[in-house]
Amino acid sequence: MSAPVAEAPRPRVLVIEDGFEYITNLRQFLGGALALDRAGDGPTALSILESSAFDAIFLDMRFDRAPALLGDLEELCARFAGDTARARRFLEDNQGTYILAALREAGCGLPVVMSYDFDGEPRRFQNLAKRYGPLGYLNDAAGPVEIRAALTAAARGAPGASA
Amino acid sequence: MHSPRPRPRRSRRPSAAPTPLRRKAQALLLGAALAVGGTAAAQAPAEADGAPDPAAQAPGEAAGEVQEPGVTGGPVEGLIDVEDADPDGLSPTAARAREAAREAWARGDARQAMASWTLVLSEQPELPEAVLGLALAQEARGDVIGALRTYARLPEDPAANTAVGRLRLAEDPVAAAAAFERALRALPGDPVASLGLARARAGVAPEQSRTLARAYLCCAAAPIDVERIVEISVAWRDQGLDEDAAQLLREALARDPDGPSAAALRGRIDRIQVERAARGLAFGGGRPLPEAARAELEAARAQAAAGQLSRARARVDGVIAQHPTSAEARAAQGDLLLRDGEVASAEQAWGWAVALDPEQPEWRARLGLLLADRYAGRRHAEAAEHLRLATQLRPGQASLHLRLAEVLAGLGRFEEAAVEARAALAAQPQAETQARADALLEDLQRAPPPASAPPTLAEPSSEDAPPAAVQTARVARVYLDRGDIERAKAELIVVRTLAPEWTGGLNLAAGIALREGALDEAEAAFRRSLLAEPDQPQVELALADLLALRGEDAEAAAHLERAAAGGAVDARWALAQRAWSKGQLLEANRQLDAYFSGAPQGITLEPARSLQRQVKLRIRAIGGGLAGGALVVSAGLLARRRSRARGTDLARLVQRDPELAPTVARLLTAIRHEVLKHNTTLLDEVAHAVDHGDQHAASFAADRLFGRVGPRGDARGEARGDARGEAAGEDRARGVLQRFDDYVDQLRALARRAGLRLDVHSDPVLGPLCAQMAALGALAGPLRAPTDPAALSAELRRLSLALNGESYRALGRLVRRLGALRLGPELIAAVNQRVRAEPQLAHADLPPLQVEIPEDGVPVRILKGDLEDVLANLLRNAAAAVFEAQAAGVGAGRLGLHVEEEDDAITGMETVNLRVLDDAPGELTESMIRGREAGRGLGLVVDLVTRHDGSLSVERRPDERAAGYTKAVVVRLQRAESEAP
Repeated sequence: MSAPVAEAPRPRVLVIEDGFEYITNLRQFLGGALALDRAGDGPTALSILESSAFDAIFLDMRFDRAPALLGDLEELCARFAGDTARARRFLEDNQGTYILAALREAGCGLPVVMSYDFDGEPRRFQNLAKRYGPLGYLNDAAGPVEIRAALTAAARGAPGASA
Repeated sequence: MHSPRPRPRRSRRPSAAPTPLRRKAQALLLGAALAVGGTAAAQAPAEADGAPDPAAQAPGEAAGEVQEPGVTGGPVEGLIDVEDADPDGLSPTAARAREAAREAWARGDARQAMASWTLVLSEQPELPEAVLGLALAQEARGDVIGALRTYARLPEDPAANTAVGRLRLAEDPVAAAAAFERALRALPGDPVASLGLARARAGVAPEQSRTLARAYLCCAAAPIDVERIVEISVAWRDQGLDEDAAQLLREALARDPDGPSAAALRGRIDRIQVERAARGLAFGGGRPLPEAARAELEAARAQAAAGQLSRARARVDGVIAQHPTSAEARAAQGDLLLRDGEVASAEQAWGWAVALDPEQPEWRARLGLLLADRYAGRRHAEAAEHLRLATQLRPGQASLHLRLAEVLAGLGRFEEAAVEARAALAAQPQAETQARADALLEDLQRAPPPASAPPTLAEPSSEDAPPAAVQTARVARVYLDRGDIERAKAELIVVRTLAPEWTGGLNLAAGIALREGALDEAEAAFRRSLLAEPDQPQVELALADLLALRGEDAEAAAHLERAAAGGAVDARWALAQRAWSKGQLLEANRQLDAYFSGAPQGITLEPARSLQRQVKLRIRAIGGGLAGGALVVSAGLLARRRSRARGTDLARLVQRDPELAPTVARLLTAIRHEVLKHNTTLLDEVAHAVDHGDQHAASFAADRLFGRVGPRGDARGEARGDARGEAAGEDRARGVLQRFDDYVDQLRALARRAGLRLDVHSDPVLGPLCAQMAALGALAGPLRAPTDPAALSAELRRLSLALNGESYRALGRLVRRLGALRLGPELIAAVNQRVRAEPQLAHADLPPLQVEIPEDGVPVRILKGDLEDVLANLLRNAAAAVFEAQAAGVGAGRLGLHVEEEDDAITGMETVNLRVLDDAPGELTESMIRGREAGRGLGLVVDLVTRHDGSLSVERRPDERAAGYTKAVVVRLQRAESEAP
């Protein structure tokens, strides 16, 4: 009896990152294990998800090279005493969570694996998982093997992979 | 269990919407029905028991359904214009029935809800809310068959299918699984359906069940469905998958270690372990396979050797289907999966093999080696467990002992590592193993004594603690030894609840804090422990180590003296080293004599012998008439040594100039993010590629690490952007090694600006990291043109282990430690006292400061001095305003400081909000903050707060929690997590 999971089609994963590091590394080292697409920022990701089906999302946290940022810059400026640069940096540093919130707001219920070291911020992760689950994370030291395992596990929650 | 309330959902219109004419007719019909049944239902609920099953009727049979009593609707209004009906397309009457159904369900009246939903369905037969509502009401009344029929009206609806799965699970797992799968097709990743499917498949497809259950535990929102998890674990256990079952329960427990089900989960885990131990004596996993099956495995191995991996795997799968409890077959499957590069699946297969045959060392060894080799140090604790058991079950395998030694060294368990390295040497190893073991022992002798003192602490007295606390502390220690800090912390909470001031608990808390790099927290716990029980030489020694690490030498020496006086032999060794470094030869010799008289063992023994030889040689030289010259030479050597050591490390740098902490933290984070992430995490895979002759992958990695090579010049030199590379003017990417060097240079420059020299090589975090990066730099040539692939891949794996393991963790610990403190009542009181003693307020009759703060304080991310300045400014402003108001006879005179925690809705980040309140008149405006005005000292406060990523705002009307106050200045600071002292 072969394991049913082994016969599953390749999970399709949307990688949301502002650079090309993950997508390049994963394509190089994971071969054909996952079908990967990339979105460079939140608005692009939302647009892609409207028209294409995926099994899971791999989401970076920091977006300091993204063409467009989600979030209310004006509100943040007020929070940081009118300091626009700091407000923008805050948005960049935490953009992953803004994208996550926007995905859920748009009705996207796909499992999301975030690339961020929540090891040192377990309460923060719990807060996010409570609001925006299903959610997992991988810290910065995760290599391709761990990333594949996490994404495959997340994607297998979907019916296509588990049937 | 699941709530029986229908989920809030977007309404869906039926595919064939009724025409306006038809709606009017239905509205009329419904109105007539209401007029007949109207109020009767409320008066005679028992009538419903004899009512026809609404689900048994086709949606078109609305006329029959409306004879049901039950809706307390309004009077008939004749023909109703429903063109602007509600979003569900219901007529006003049916909409009223919907409201009645919702209200009935909310107050627990299932019968009324059923009747009302039936009415709604007469108009919209597929309205999901109504279908689900009716079915749930039927369930609530015990009509499972009716509920199943009703759910069947929504064949594609995930909630309906999940409910069907739930209802059929007990009697027909196959049908339940099909229903859950339909639910998942409609709602991918839905945790409830995933868990349901995991349960349904637990008995027939444990691998799939495990994947689904883990996905659920990974992603489901709290509270988790413990009941279902337990059912799954029982199903697995019944199949002999004890370890999987226990692990699932442990993961569930980790999700909510203090929850109401925690004790039950722990009990079940214990029970499984006990049962397993008992069963292991006679379990059949290790029974030999029948001859035919064994032949199949052999044939599969032969196929694999011939490169026919797919066929080999299919053959082994066939054997497993026939003999699912065969450990040997599972292990063979693991071998093939690993050859195919499926590391996670191989781990799973070997995990099964181990669970099926716990006494077989071979499977354990393979699993341990996989965990040690493939996870870059992150799973060393588990690897060590398996390797240790393998060596115990089959002692004398030199290579296993050696690998275990290396893993233990990677975990910082140096003494155990040395024991294993010696065991490897004693087992008559081959030349290569011997050389590696020798080298490791040599390294270990140079390594510092372990900082994690608690494992070496004696078992604390349990006389003053309840047995449950002692037992739980032991469990926590086991977790700590395994590197599972989160579980250790969960156990610690139990210990501290049962025995808050027990020294064993305090020492355990210190040990956990040390593992996390939370030195302040560890120090506080040690001090409390010594306060409770002063006679603890090992705790004195641990505290001394900790203080020395932080550069507090004088106090460290005092604790060392007390530890030594109490009999801690390693304290003598430490004192001897201190004396030697100061040139106090006789004192060093005295301490070493005392050290050896204590019959020492362990890692300090060899270096102590070596030091004593040097000390005696020098003393002899002085006594032999060479005093003058030797003293000069000796003093010169020592002076040079001290001079070299005078450079500072990062911890001392920040200690000397706390304002540098945020910048240092930012640079270290950049190293972690930009150098390790995306780059060194690839090394394991590159090693794998090298093993398989994949030069493309090796070149890819070389480009990434060292920069792309131009037509001439060596890669490293060019990547570093030196003059030659620059002069070439070639367009090539900079490698990550260059970026690393840049960051280190920035750290050095930071220290120079503070008037200090940063000695990166003596820094406990940067030193090893620099050495590892240098070693990586040496691989530029071999990676581009491998001459010895085996040596290259071994070196890549070694560096992967070091960089992605300890160096990564050490960076994280250091970053988290920089600039975090616990804000408690004491600090507030001290600042308040200081402010009130200032000349302008010293003679004012001020009201007391009303402080509201969580009892244990809150951990915040800011430097202590900055926080004190912020508080002082705000308290001074508030006190001065109240003082002036009192002088003018205005206000009751109230001053307050409320501290509370909250979390940001989007980022999940938690903040600590400090609200400084007063009841004086006068106005605070946003412009005082926004414009960085100097007025009332807020400009300074803004600068200090924003430096630590905090924010400042004003409230002109504080909320009801601050009744009696007229205004507040609110400081929001980042809450530090567990690492804060």
